[in-house]
Amino acid sequence: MKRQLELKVNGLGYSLEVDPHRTLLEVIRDDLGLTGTKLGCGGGECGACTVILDGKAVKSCLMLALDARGKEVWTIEGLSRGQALHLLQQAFVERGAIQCGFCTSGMIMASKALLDENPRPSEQEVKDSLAGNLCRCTGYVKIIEAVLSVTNTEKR
Amino acid sequence: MKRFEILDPNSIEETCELLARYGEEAKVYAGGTALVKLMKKRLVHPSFLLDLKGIQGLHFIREEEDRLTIGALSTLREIETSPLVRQRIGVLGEMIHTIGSVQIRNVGTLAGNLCLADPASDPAPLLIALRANLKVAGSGGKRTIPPEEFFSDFYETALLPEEILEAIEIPFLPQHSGAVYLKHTMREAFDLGVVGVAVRLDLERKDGMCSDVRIVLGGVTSTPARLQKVEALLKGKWIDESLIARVAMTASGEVDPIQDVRASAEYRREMIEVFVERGIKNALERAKGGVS
Repeated sequence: MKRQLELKVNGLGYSLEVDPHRTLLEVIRDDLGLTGTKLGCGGGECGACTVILDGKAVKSCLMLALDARGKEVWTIEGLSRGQALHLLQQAFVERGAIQCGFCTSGMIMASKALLDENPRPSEQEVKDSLAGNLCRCTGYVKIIEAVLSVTNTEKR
Repeated sequence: MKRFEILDPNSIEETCELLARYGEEAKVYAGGTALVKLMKKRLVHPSFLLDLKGIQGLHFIREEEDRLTIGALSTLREIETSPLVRQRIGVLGEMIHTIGSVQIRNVGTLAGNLCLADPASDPAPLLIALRANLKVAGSGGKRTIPPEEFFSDFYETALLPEEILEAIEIPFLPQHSGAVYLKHTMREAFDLGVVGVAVRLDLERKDGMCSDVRIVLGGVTSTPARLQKVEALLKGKWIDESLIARVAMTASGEVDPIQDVRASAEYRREMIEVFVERGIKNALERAKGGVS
């Protein structure tokens, strides 16, 4: 039986009807058309589906959509302002922290959740926060450099 | 995933009633990180999920005289980053830091981890070593189960069908006591342990003899394994490096390790010796230094 799901995504309020077995990832991608969040392993291991839920990074593939009732979700689509990229996005581009791009939205959302909570993380803290995000192209060094480069700028 | 309904009980009593009514058809959940994964793999297929998140009074971390009490809805990350936990039972946060990833710890709960009863659970061996108590509520009232008796087999617990785990009580470490959790993984992060070793070691006084010790393994047998023979060899002794090395060599003889995708039984035996030795050493250092 479908149930009512009220939530906010990237600052916009939505009122949806969803089946209880659907994941937050499915609703974000299929119902809202926000396909920047990726389905990788579907088992919580790769981190490509990372979104920010009430300020915390979560894996949307393992979360039932109804568990986001009344909550605020941010996805990669909510970061840029028109053509102006978010500082993290800009840093990933400039540092070559992207190759195929499949892990990127998850990497950036996990990094954003970290920086929102801890604006000056150590390298170890960045690594801890990205331990649940797999990248099979770049080898992490550039990704970590990109995140750390943002921590050194005053404005974010 | 098979289709199901989500029910939102408002109290523990109501949850227990629903469990009694639906039996195996119902599963309780809080974070759901483990349950949703098992449901996606169709390893479990309940018709009803009972969402515990609407129940008041299950979401807390508090100090009570000589112990910490943690409610069933507290997430792993909340416990890991709690200043109270860091100050009182630091080893608990250290252990939780090794579980999954931040995203999983933000959602998953300690109680959920225990109720899943995965043989590779990290909290399970540590809570046994720390002499924790599990507070359980059911239609027949409340009871307390020591974690040693809680895990009955692979993914099976001593909970009755209509019971739920309500809270976890962990006593503070006394003076001259040290505890440690070491986990051997094949990857540096975000992996289940090949061997997990929890040690709590009490000294009679600083640099005194060992008055009590608990050594518990995770990830090597269907349920956490207490090494009581090794414990007996340390109890009442002044512990030095040569004694530690001697007793660690006997450690793997006390268990019959599983073989799985992560490691062979032989490799686990070798690693048990290495990590038991390391665990006793570290716990002893902490007991002498007075750091938990």
